[in-house]
Amino acid sequence: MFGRKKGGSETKANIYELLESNYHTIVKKWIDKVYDSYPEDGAKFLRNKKDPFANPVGFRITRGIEGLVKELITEEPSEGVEEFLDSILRVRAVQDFVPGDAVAFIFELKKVIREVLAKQLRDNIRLMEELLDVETKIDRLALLAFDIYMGCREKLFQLKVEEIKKRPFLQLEGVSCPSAALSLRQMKTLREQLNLVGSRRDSEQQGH
Amino acid sequence: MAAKTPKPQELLQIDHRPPREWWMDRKVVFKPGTWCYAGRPENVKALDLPFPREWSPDEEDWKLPDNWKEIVLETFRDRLHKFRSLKVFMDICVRCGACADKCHYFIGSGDPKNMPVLRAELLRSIYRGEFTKAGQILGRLAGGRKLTYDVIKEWFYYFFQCTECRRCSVFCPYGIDTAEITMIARELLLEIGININWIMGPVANSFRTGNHMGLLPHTFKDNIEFLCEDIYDITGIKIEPTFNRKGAEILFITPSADVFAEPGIYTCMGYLLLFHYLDLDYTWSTYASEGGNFGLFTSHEMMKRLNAKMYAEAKRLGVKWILGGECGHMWRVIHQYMNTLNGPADFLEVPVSPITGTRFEHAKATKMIHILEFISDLIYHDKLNLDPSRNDHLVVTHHDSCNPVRAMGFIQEPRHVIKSVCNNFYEMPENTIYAETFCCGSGAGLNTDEFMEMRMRGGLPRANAVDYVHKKYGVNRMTAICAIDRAVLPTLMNYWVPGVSISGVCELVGNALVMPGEKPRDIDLRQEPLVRPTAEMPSEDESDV
Amino acid sequence: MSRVIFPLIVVLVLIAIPILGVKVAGLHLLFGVVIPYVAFAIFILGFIWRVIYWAQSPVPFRIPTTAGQQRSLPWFKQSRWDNPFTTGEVIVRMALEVLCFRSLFRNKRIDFRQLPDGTPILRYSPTKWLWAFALLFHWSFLIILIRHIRLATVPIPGPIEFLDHLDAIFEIGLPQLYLTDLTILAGLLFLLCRRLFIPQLRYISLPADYFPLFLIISIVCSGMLMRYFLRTDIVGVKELVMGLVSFHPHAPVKDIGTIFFVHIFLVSCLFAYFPFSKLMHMGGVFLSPTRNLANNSRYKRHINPWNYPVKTHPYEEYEEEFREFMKQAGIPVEKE
Ligand code: HEM
Ligand code: SF4
Ligand code: SF4
Repeated sequence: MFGRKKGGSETKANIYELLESNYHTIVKKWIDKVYDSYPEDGAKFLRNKKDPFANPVGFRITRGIEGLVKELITEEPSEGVEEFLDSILRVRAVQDFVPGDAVAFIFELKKVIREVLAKQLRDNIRLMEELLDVETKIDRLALLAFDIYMGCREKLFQLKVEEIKKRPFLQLEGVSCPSAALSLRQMKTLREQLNLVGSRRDSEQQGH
Repeated sequence: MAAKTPKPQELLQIDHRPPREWWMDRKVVFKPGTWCYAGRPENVKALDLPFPREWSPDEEDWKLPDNWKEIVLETFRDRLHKFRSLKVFMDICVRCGACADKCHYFIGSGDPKNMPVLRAELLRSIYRGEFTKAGQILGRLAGGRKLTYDVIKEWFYYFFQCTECRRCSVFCPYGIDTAEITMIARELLLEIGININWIMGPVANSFRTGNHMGLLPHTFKDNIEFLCEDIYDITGIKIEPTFNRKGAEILFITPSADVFAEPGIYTCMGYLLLFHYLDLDYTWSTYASEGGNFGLFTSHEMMKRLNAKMYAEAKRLGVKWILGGECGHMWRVIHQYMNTLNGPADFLEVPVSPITGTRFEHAKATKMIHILEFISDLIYHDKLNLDPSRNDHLVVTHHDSCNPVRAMGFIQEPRHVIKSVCNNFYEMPENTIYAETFCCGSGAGLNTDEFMEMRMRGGLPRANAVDYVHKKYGVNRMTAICAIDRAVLPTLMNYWVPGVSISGVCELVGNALVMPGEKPRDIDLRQEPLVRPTAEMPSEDESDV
Repeated sequence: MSRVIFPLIVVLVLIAIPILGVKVAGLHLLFGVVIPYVAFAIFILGFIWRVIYWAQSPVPFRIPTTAGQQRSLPWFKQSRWDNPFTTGEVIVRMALEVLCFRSLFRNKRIDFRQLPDGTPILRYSPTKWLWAFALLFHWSFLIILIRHIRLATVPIPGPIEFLDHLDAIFEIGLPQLYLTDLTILAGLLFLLCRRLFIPQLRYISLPADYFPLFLIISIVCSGMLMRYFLRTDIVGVKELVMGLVSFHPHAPVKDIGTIFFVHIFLVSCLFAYFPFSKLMHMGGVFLSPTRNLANNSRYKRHINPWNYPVKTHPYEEYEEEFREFMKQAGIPVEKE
């Protein structure tokens, strides 16, 4: 109860060693939180206690989360990070999230770590300082995640435009420019789908 | 569900596993990217379909006729009388769940109502609640519910999230075919003026101009001639196809997308080269210029209305038999419906290959054969001079399109041809090919851009399988014998597995076919260089699985 | 939750009815003769009615689900049982379907593996649990049903006697334990647990899915109680059953044992419920157009009895609209 036994030796370990020894718990808790971010009738429904991987969505999430935690506990993360983030965010980009919610799961990791290491962190200033270092990394991860998420959304948008461009009626009706062919209605919906907060891109599109 | 997705924080504060509402209690929320635009009134009017009007699924009021409920129930009753399939499927499902995780939309989205069994229950619950005594008295306890406005919205949402791919039917112990249920549900909705423009548009076009693309006769011809010019540039061969020519031996019909849209046009160039090589006595038709049939996604009646052109044109031109291009739902209609709907085709003759003399006995009533059956026969009899190394720049896998496989059994024909025209062929993992193939996620008239998010979700299982062979064998080309596939898979690949391009099988044939009198070829039909295989070819050889 | 509780309560009530009826009210004749007759009549008539109801609707199109290679050119090996072309092949397909649950055998699970080098992959691997237990349950049910003929025949026909011996082959206990009693229970409990504990299944399940399971479990349990624990007067039972099947019913012997009345009442309920429920899959499976049709629609024309003429866009109208374009483009026209 009061940090007998292993507690003494573990507090000597640095934060990365602690994270490593708690790797599985962290992964599991973090995956749980990712699932929690899904609406009731979304991918959450696929969560199955015994086998959280039983679907490609879960597969990508698991692959991504495991990879990210591994990257985090090695002190020098590699480019692998992007691949793992991509694994998760490419899925979230086609699910019903607003951008903030889509990447919010990254910050959950902070909470998970603090929960898992609560005992060791208590009264240990050195660890706390090291933790701040880790959390800075997580913040950077979040920024990167946002970039990747936006990259996916832009890709989707670009794919839509490409398909619209390919539509034969454009040629038939003598319209060569996709944005001109889009009725206002479609334009409105596309914009909603883009979930863009700012209007920068919109004005670019219309100026086309 | 609330209109807004709950934030993770909110979920954490409250108990994050609330008792789940049951599906009958859930109302549909129309989120962007998961539904298609409503049919334009001019298209609906052009087809004499009921209740043309401006409306939109994301608005509260769908402007339904006052007696929508009676119409739906009346139509439902009528279809029960007309289709034993519907009646039996309404009664015998045991909800064993074998089909549940077989639908690509469920796998990709996790939305429980995308389980085929629940998709069907949406209709079944009304059947029980409105037509059976137990359901009328016991209501929910007997699994019944009443038909309400919300139910209609739910139907729209989920029956236009089914690609009628029939994968569920393969696994059901009674063969319950949710595609059939979806087809009929869409008919019920059609009767009260609910339809989508991505289907209504092509159907209206097809009705008037003969093809989905709305190509007028001269444009259709121009396009093919344009392709012939490209062929001339690439091979030095001059091809002059004929149009609406009376007395030709064969009428050739393919989806108009092959004539017009990338990458289908390369497949079309393959057809043109082949026919020229064989000096085939055939003609194109601008009137029956569409192989595909979006009527299949509208109603049985509309399918018949559009399909009628094929036999009518064959009769007018006096051809002996019909040859069909590569397309999925087109072949579902030809194989399972055409002769029943618009036959008997007693003015035609049993297809006989003029080159090999083979009589295509299995098509002796419908009198139409698939181009790959035709080519497979040529290859078997060694009538084609093929140089498969001209496809060495490609590492190929094959996507079995849903309809040819699960409504026809068209499995080995494409493989025979592919393996004869290219050297690097790898199958995707077992259980994602043949009869268990995964849908592209965009079939049944759902290949529109406003449905993009849902398409990407539904295409994920397919993409996963491609990703596997892409990484393992360096696959960079996937063939698909379906015009919808050729339209949507490039997008899907672009999102999930960049680096894999899509083509029809006949494009590869066109690349490999050594034409007499051609100039040395250093580019393929896409005018891309024929690069020889690179050194780092994967060593494992499991191509013949 | 009420989707589970409600059918459970109904079954409990059904169990209570004969106990009260026989023990308290002494209605032996009603429970021993009248109700079984009525139930059986409902079953037979209901079954026939339902099959006729289905058969009244035609099969307008030939829509088999083809799960293998079609018959086309001789150098392709046709998957005869998955893609039948002839009636004979259809019969085999149906037989495999009905006797072996072939489609269920195809069941796949989505599966997550790691390659030796640690890269995770996803695959769809076969899962046979549902198939195995479904088969176990159904075959046990069938054998048990056939075994019951023993009660209605004198002398007992050889094959039935043989089956009986086979079923009790382990010769455990006295009276000897039937294997099928265990296997049917195993099957039923598995099917029930699936429904209760797999979230997807619980979500799709209706009261009408739990009810037959509870009912059949109760029937099995009451049967087993009767045989192994609360002994009943077998001779009395046989007399009663013989009377029933020979249409010379006589009132049951009074001390036959209440448990017997519970058993026969539950069976009566099952019979009476059968034609109006999903249990009719037994008949429906034979009528399913995606399974019972040959895939030969290009070979032989399938007739749709209600095929009606529709409005088409004939060539003449087409040419009328586009004639000028066609002429300019050099496309032949009918009328110059
Ligand atoms: C031709 C005869 C029959 C065939 C081919 C057949 C086939 C099947 C199949 C394939 C299933 C799905 C798998 C499963 O959930 O167990 C099933 C379920 C079921 N069958 Fe049958 N069956 C037949 C007759 C019967 C009969 C006579 C009964 C008994 C009254 C019965 C009772 C059930 C029940 C209760 C289920 C649902 C099990 C569950 O809740 O999961 N079946 N049947
Ligand atoms: S597999 Fe067939 S019987 Fe089982 S739940 Fe699905 S549709 Fe119903
Ligand atoms: S037909 Fe295809 S898309 Fe429709 S429910 Fe079945 S598996 Fe899903």
